[in-house]
Amino acid sequence: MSLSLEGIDWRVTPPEIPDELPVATLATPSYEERLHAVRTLHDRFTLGETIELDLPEGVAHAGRRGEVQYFAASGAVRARDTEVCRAFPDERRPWTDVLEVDDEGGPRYVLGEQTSSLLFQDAGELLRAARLLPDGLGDVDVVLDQWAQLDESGAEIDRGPGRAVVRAPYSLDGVPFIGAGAKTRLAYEPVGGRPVLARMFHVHRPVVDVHSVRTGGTERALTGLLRDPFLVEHHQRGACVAVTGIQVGLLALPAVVPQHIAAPAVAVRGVLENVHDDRRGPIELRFARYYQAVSAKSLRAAGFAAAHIPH
Amino acid sequence: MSRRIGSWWITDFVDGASFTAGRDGVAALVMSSHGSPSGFAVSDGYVSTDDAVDFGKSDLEVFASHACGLLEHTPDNSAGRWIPAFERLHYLLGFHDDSYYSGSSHDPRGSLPAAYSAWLHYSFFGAFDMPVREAWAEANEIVESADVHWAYLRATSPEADTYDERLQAGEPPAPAAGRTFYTARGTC
Repeated sequence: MSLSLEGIDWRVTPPEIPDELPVATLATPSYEERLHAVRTLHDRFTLGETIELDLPEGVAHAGRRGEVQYFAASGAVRARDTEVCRAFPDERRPWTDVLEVDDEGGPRYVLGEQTSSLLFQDAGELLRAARLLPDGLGDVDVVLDQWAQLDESGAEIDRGPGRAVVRAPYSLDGVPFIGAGAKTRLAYEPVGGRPVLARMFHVHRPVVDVHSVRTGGTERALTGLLRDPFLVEHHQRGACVAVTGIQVGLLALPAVVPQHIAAPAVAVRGVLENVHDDRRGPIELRFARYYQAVSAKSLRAAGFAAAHIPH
Repeated sequence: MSRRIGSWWITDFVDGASFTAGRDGVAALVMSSHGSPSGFAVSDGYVSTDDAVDFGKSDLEVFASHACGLLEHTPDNSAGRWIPAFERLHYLLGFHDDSYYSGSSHDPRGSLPAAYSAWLHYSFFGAFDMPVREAWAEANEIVESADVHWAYLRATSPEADTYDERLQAGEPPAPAAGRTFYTARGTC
């Protein structure tokens, strides 16, 4: 039993999925290959005296000033400056170059162009020095954390901007990497009137080979969505399945998960409406899931054994 | 007093004739289920903001949920809708929007917040000293994509400032008189 494309309430335009998409063979940088980045970050965060720790996920150099951590499953690195992270007594951040904008999600704060340029320059220089600027870097942006203070009734009594985060996505031949495993982010705090790097995280497994794989077109590529047991079960019991967001790309798994190929997948956001609940009547449940967009047969035809796709 | 950290499927925390007894005899709890801004699924139904939820009635200080949109905060729907559930809870950790790992695959979603908020610090004394809110952000930046936003709602008071609260062996004071709340969110 499965859903049909017509049986889904599409609140975004369904994607036109090409008959063929790339599949990437990935490398996993070793600790030795990332040692230059680890040392560069150790120096940048002035971590001082640290101890080297063997952790379940990899290796860390940690001390009272912070830590830099290497992830063996992906070659990812993260680092943190404890003192910068401790510089404020609450969520408020004294950015001076901030604008308030209003979009469909309500008011939010964005960093001004001048300070954004400073952050882009600093981030670029650090990533270049650490040799963490791989091919496929997408459009870099900067976003601010958002906070609000509420009273006991839940009413807002204050709000403002938090940390600034420089973000970089990755793509391959115009196809974006989706998922948690292909991104770079650097978080800055306004300390002493200037932005200071507080944390960084980089995960992107280098692409070492690219093949084409057949998707079989849109409906076939959406088989995972149409056969999702959770959605099908609720649909059969009268729930409406609505899709509110969908993106096609190459799925990059989280830094803690080993991965050797990145295969085409779809990231789907949606909502189940009119879900039956015995105690209170119909309820609503949101969902967000990745589905493989190519069959095991297609992957085998391209010379791959299989692809591990978590739900 | 038990002080445990980990991931469990739980019954519920809801007082009421139609629900089983609340179980919050732990300091911190990470839960995976589906949800929406108004509630989250539990093993025997659904807990919503309309229920008489009392987080922290016994011990619970930190409740983390991967249910989608639990802490959505907009002008029309404040994350403060969960404030009535804060009996003595300090932190409600969740997401402003949809969590891609919602509903399955427990491991890193529970183990990473536990590692960054306590396990690493207590295993390697003096290292990885991280507040609960930061551990939640760090962990989700690893397991979620950049279009997802971690979020939290915390209670605080002049006598019990929770901003830098850590998961620790001692029992931290609970915000009581003069409580105020902060919600925050950031990109994963």
